[in-house]
Amino acid sequence: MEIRLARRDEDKACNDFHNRIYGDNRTLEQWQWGYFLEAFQTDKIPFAVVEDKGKIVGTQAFIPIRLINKDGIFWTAKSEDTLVDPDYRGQKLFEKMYDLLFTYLDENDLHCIWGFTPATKSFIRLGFEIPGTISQLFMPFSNDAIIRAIRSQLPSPKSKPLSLLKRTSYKAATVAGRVVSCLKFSGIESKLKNKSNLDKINITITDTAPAQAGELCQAFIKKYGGITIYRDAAFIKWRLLDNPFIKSIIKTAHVDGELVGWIAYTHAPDGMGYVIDWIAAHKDDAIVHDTLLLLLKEAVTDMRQTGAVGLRFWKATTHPFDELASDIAKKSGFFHIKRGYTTVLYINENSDRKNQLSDYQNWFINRTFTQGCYG
Amino acid sequence: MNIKKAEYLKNQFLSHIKLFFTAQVSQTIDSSLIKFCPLSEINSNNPALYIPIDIPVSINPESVYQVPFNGTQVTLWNPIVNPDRQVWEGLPNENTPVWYLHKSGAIIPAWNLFGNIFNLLAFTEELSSDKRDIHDRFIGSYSPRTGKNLLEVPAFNEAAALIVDAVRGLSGTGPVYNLEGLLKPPVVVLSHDCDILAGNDFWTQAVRAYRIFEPLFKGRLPQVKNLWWIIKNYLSPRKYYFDEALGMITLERQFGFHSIFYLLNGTYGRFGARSNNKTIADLIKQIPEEWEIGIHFNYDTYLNCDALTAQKKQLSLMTNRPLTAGRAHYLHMNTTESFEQWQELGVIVDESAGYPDFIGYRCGIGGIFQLYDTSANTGMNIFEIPLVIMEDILLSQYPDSSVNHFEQLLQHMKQIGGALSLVIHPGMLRNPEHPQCRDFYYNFLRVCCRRGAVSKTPNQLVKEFRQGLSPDNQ
Repeated sequence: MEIRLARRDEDKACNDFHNRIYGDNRTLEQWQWGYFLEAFQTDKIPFAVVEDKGKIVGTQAFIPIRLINKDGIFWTAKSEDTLVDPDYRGQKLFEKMYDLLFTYLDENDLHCIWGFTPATKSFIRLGFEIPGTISQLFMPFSNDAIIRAIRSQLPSPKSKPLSLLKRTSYKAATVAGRVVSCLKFSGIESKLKNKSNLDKINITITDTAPAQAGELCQAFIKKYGGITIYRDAAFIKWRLLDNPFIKSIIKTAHVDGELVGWIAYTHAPDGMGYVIDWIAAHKDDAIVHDTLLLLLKEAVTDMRQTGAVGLRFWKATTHPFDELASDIAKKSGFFHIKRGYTTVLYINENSDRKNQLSDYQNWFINRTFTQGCYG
Repeated sequence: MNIKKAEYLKNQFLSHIKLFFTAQVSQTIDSSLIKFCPLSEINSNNPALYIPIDIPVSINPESVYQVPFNGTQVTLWNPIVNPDRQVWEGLPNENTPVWYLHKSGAIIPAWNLFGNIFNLLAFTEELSSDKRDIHDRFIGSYSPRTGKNLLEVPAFNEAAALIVDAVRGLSGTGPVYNLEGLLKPPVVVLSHDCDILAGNDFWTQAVRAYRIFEPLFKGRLPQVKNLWWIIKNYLSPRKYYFDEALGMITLERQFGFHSIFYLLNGTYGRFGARSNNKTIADLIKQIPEEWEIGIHFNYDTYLNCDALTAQKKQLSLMTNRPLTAGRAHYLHMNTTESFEQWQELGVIVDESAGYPDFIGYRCGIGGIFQLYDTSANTGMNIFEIPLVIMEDILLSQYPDSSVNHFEQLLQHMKQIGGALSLVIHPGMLRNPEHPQCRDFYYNFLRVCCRRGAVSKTPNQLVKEFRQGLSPDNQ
């Protein structure tokens, strides 16, 4: 068996391995989009493989992502494609692949590795921390919204089909939830901090990445602090608009020609609507609040019209913006469901931002941190 | 007379090839090597593709057979007998030949390419039949192709793909039955017939009211849920119709597609318009510029120029956007007169040539072609993008595999080049009255995306198609 970084011409073999083990039909284009990054070009792609007799039997990858904090922009790695062929388990292949990637981490000045997984044990053995768990904010649009959410996405402790009693209970809960949501959402504009903002904040749909995105991201960090993904126009184009899994609908908010926020959302194959990204910054808190409210209204209206069964987004930490956004969402008819994947985090010893990175509750995390299969 | 028909058909082929094949093909293919001529004028010593134009043809398909080609199967019928086995060789084999190759390099089709294809583009099946349904339509059931399972065969596209392969092979390799790297992505022409935009109109509510009690006639319990929809649309008229039109735009945007909305205005009625002008005008305002709008010819405009003109005039008052694309409501059209009337109205592209009872290729083509004026024996200045799939027909024909079946049609088109025209009505996106439609359009768009299809609007397609036509025919 040979454990090494994959060659660029092994893209098909790596993707085929994933599809074989998961019974998935991820396309080669989707694989290439995730791992052949224009923004981070190195001789070798950070994709560790185990090859046995000419066959890929294990993979572990990094997707290099730029984060930003008050000290500036820096590269990190998102852990992806963790997979070992069931016939080869128990041979510490995962650990051996990570040995290679830890070296890659040092060589390429990546400050940390992060990811989301229900299987944390093997990461803990490698020295990863478990700093928190993702939860969900959820608005049902259809009576079977919760049942469909449970079946498709939320990591369920049981894979058995739901009993009639449970199905009935979930359905009853969803109907009640819909009534509450509708009542709260119907008066959404009355929740504006300043009614004149309705005219002041200009919401538009865009098929191109906003040129001022990077500046808004910097203004965001300046205002709220913490750490988040650095979203400049190139990142938005790659991650949201050129995403071969699902392209996002992006709506931007401008005040007097200045970009003050945006929301990106998708109707995913599981029938659910997902807010992928939702961000705003402005010196006036009322503008930020009302921008978020109006952008959320757009997402809810659009996703309802497309026939999505509900709308979900992540609530991860106690970052001030995350708290503000989730507070607005809850007041607008979203429910907080404390269930989701666990975050794993490994901080590079050589990083000069160890303290900030370890303050996980000060990260602003949303679905842009995911691999992008649902947008 | 067949010479003119041949010129017309050759033009349609060449323009189709420019539209759906890569620039490399259209630049390298020498159109002078494709010769439509009488059988007697075939010069077997001159290596070229000769397509005989004087072989008698029956509209009843005979001796249907299939041949593997470019990862799919092409279907041929009305075969031509090998002129002389001593000098002409059947390719790829003598049992199911696509071509006959002369020892000197000339090649002729082994099926009646000209007769079959011209008849399809010229609506000969229906012009030579008196059968019509209660709406005076020639429906799929009446087509002689139906009994042979040929309605879903895009014979024109298959012929074009075979021609490209054969002409490229004239340089010495012979046909290779492979088009790898030579085809552009398949095209989908998405459209929405806006028959109903508000669910509170008299006819919609009356039908629901009837449906409450209809089961009683059969000794069953009444369908009370219809009452719920009556109330819902009474309180919120645009729910499930107008709102769905907007939802479709959002979904299409997510997948990077565009579509056209055919707006039905004019005379109100059971078969007429069900939306008031204000609702239509409101929708027009919300249709983004990249999406097109067209006119959905009202039922009463059938062979009625005054009603047609009045409808267009009324719609023109609601928008400054050009109304150059159309589709007949109920596909209610007459192939000898309607096109001319629409052309006079300023319509340049029509999407009515589909069947109301079957999915399939009414003109044997998935794409666009110039309509043929049988009296003047020339191409008209109006183009047809035949409707291939109406969502409710697909769902009723293939209830358990509608999306998979569509995927098969699209995959076939991907292998031979062409476009699929589809209609999805507002009201069929998430309307609980049509539970079979749930997730249908989403999955449909997803399939298009997964198969690498691109969407083009009718006017866009006309523009590109015209560029491929010879100057005389533009």
